[in-house]
Amino acid sequence: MTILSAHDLVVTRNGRRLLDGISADFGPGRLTGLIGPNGAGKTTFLKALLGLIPVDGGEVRLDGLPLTNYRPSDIARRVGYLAQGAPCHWPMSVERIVALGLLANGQDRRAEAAAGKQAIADALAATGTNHLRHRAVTTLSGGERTLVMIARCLAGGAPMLLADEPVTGLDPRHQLDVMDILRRRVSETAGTVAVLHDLTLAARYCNHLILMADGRIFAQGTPDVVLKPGNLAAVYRIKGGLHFVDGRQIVVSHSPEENRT
Amino acid sequence: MKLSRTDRSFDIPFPFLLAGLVLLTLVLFAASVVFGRAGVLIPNAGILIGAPTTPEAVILRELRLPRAILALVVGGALGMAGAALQGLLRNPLAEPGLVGVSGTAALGAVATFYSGLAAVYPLALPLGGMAGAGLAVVLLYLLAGRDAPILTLILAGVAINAMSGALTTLALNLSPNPYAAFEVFFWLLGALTDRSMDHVDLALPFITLGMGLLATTGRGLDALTLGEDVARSLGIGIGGLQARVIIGTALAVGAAVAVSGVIGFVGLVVPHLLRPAVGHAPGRLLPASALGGGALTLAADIAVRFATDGPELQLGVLTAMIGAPFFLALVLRTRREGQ
Repeated sequence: MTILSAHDLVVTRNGRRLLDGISADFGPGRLTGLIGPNGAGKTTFLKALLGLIPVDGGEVRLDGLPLTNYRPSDIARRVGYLAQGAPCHWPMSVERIVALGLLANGQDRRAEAAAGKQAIADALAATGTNHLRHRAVTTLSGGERTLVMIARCLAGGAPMLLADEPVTGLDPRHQLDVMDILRRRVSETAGTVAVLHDLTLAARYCNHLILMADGRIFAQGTPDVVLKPGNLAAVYRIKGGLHFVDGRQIVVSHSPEENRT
Repeated sequence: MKLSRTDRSFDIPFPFLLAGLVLLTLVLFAASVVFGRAGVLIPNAGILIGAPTTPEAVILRELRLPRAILALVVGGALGMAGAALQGLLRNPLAEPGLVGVSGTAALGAVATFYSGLAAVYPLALPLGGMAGAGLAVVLLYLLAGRDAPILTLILAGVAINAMSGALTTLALNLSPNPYAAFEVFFWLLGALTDRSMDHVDLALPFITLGMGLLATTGRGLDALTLGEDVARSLGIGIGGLQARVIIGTALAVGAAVAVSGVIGFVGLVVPHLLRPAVGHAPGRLLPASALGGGALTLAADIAVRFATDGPELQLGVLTAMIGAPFFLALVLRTRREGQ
């Protein structure tokens, strides 16, 4: 079981507090949605949780021990990372890119071996990208590319997966596909954290939401608690709220709030 | 569905590719020893033992053999360093010559000529070359590391080349002996003519060490395909990876330039031609480019012997004549893809 937790986390850049005393924990069995307006510090929080950026106060703990105690390879074995925009610099084949995920558990030299091959095949199947395996990643659509990068994370087998804006810029079908895969991998041993802008998807797929504003956590809990009109008004400055249509959650933003000056 | 050229990866099985490149390199190495302006000479095992007794044995052992060995290792160093720099900077146009590493290595070597240090203490020559190359790679990385656009890389290269070029010219300018200056000028053009086993002894250990270091970076460069953050999340220590590429390139290119002068474009042309054959994987490109660089340099060095009747063409001039149009074509294509 892998538990990732932040304790009073502070990150300062150029005199600005990007994260200002954040405490939260992430573990198995949960798909946590990290929501909040642009510039609220969601990506910074994710990178701090992965140990990709230095923190100026507080600490991140992995299974109870400070993240700084771990070697990069030990973190990689436990926490996977889906970067925003699914970057890929060379036109490598989908299969090869997914195989890079095996680096995370030190399996790369056995990539040709049965375990590695099986992990790659499972990851391609789980994301429905098997038919793309010989295509160059750079020729794929944004949605296909995101699915392939998720497959890369799945092949690594880390129990925790942190995904930065996995559905931004994707068409509706791919958004649903991606959210489905992220939810399906959540289990008694595995958890997912996803930065999201689409509040309807956040309400429908996540069982836990963290609403961030100005580097702090404004509210957290189940979607119906977090997506209250009062919270949306205070953080996003919109009039809106959670509704149900045919029994399904929909978050409607009715109108911008009047500027209270 | 019709697949365009880049739609599909059509890589050759890696062991076959390497075996083919090894074979090609061996054939060219043998040809480099056998064919020359003094005619076809077939070496026998005896020429390597004891003092050479016949003129043919002297030519083979004192001229052709060191020349072939240097072509192999200098080309291998340039090809592999090109592939490694391209992997680190995620940029297909990074090449030791274009980005100023070779030029600055030459400056380092010229400084040891100029100060007379190289004459007293021969090891100063490769050490000067490596110091220059190391300085240039560090500068380049500071200017164009971290996902810099291609333009930044090229401009950084222009700046580094201009600086090292100016300082090298200054050294020639102030040279008290015009003949020495002329000699250095020709040496700068890049050639493997009239090199001896002493040159091999000076350069080979450092080139081997540098290439050995570069050979350890394959895994990290593969991961870097996904960007620096993702590579780190896969457990790659980026600082160590950068250090190995920078030190490896400095050792290999610095020592190579110190004995051969500036042989440009090998590190651009070879990785570019081999990249599709290794499925664009930066790690596999390293050994393939080392072999390919050796093969191309051996072939070019054989060609310069027979290209003209008069004085031999400089090797660096030939590789530039092949490489420069190639570079232009690459720039044009990059520009089209950027639109």
